[in-house]
Amino acid sequence: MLALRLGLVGLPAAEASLVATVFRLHRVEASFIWTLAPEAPFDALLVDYAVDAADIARLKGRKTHLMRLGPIGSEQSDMMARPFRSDLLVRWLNSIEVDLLRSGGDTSVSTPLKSQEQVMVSQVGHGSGDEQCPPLTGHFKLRRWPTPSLLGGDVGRIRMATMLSRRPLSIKELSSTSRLSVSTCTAFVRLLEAAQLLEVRPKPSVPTAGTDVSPMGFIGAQNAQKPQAPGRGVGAALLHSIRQRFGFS
Amino acid sequence: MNEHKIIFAGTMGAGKTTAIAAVSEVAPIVTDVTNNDRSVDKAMTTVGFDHGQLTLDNGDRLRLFGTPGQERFRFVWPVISKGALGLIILLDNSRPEPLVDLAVYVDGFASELTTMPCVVGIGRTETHPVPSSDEVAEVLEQMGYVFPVLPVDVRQRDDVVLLIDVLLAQLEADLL
Repeated sequence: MLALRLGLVGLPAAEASLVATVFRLHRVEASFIWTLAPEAPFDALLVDYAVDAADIARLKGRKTHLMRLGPIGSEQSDMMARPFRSDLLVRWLNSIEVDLLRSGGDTSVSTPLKSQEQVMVSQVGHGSGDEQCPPLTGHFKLRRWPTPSLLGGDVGRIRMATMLSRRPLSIKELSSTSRLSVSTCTAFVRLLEAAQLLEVRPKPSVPTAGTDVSPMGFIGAQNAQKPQAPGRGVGAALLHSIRQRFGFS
Repeated sequence: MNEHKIIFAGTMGAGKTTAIAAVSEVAPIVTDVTNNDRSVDKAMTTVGFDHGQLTLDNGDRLRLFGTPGQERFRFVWPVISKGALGLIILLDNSRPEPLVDLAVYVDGFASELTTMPCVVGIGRTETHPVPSSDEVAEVLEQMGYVFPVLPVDVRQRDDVVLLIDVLLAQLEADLL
């Protein structure tokens, strides 16, 4: 099966783990043909902007595409600003894919040097990716609905995103409410974090509406934090009954 | 026996009646008359509110109401949506300005949307991909809302059920 190879150079472990998580989530899409490569040859490199050019040159092949990760506000044609956004990363990979497939990629690099990703990939592998990352704490609130490519048409992801759109939730709350594992919820929250779609909020004292308090949200700002309207009569039993009636759990 | 309701809103031709028919256990009561608005290629249009229902295992009834799409019936929207479990806004991407349509319905239900769950379903995306789900989400963000946005084909029962599933997920989050 055709696969293009991305190497990571000089990225912090947590950031490399995020990239690995993005790749793992996109792997379900047949059109996503990228893999994280622990060693050369690389079709593309994602490099910390501080990495020495000579080190990059040892890893970079004649046709290897290069993208740097720089500090906030450093966007350029060959640099993405941190924190990196998964949609921009995937967009870049898609943009160079045609060129690489047309040119046949680059197998001329034979350097034995390995990107730092080798350790991270082997440890993240097919697992949750949480082993090397500190646990996620706090309550997370979606500040904008994710793109279809990030959701991937996955009902579980849609459900998690829906709940996070409604009110701030901890990983534990998200897991128990969505009936999905903590590792699944953690991986998805990390993905949303990487896409800058989440805010970390204090635990609310009352249920919040679907509105989000933001400088631009005039209606939302006016109506946020109001208690849930009484009389709707919604309980877990009713919701379970409706789900049963429609034939989904 | 208790009664609960879910509201379907959207422009004329967005698929409210079709969506209700896709999931209702009985043939929906339809309040359609001949459409004399030549700007919309539609033989019939809803002038009251369409009504479907499902009976739950405890005897409660879940009623599905479709609001009249024309803006001149806007006064009905808050009346019909009072006490509803949630609101499903259906957009028709084949219309000239779906984002303007979105703003009309979000503004029209603004009072209810301070607490009521809502999901936006975008129809006809296979032939009219613009605006994208992301553009709709961006407009909602600018209006201060974070609602689920899903492309749907209301002729497909599974798509309509997904919209309802998403509403229920919001209600479940509220239980915490």
